[in-house]
Amino acid sequence: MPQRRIHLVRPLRFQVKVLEDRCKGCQLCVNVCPRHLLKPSNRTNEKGYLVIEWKNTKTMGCIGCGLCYEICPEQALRIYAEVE
Amino acid sequence: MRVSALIPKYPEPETYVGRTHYCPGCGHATLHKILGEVIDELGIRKKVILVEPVGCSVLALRYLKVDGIQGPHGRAPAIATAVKRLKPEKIVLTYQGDGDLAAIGTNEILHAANRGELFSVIFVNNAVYGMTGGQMAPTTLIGQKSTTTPTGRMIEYAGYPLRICELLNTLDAPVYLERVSLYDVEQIARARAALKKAITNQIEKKGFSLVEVLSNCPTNWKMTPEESWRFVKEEMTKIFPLGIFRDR
Repeated sequence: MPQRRIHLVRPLRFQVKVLEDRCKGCQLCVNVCPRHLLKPSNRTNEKGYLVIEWKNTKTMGCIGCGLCYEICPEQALRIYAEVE
Repeated sequence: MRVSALIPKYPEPETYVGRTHYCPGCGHATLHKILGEVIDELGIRKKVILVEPVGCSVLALRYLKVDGIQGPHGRAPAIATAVKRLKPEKIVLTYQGDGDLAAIGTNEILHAANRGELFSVIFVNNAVYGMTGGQMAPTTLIGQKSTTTPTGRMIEYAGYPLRICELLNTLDAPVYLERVSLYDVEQIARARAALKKAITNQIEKKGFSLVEVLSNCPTNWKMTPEESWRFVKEEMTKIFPLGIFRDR
């Protein structure tokens, strides 16, 4: 079963996607990220909130701890594991 | 290094819809999220009847895909009593704020707890009347400013903050009373466990359970979300100590 094997693969890296239409810019995730990858941006969404943006770095990148997902009230953050 | 697939680390929630109308950083949205996760985890979405209060969370049923009733102000325990007695196979939850449960509906919750009614209460304590514009609630801290106490709450005029968990702990019938908060990720995990315990008590037909959740109101406290959660952590937990008061 190929779909089952996929979960046994060790993830290479993690990606966080910010759903900008849901984000309200409360910045709770900014302070909770242990690698400081989430930052407030200059862009606004259609409701007028300054959205959060996520930028990965190569050396001290995302570890997929899920703290931003847990603290986000709107579930505006999605965490994806990259696998081969 | 070739990336061939992206796997979501967390599954899409089934019960919680999101896109709420709450202010940025409000604890209601976090609580809706973990309540949705608990309902998904227990697999009881089609059995839950949620009794909504009057207050900011009056539109909770827009964001949680469960059945529900809208109660008059403070009378959610009375409605929940009727629903649970008529349909004992359903899981009845009430979701009430502090203006709703601790001010206007104090007699309802007191008698429902004293009768040991078989439903679970989620009590959101954010120390002000949030929806109506930040008036003083019975749970407002001493010296805290609100629109009706512009110089801070004074003891000789407005008395002391009302502690619901301690009050209900004097009764014999409740089986589970716990006060949790949502100010960081660890506390959110504790709150999730407390909600799960309260609902499980009802499934096992043990008795009345109440979970008090210390929440924030950044708009009416006139703080940023981060400052408001720090206020909950440093000031509110002094007056309202966290912990399990009763677990039978």
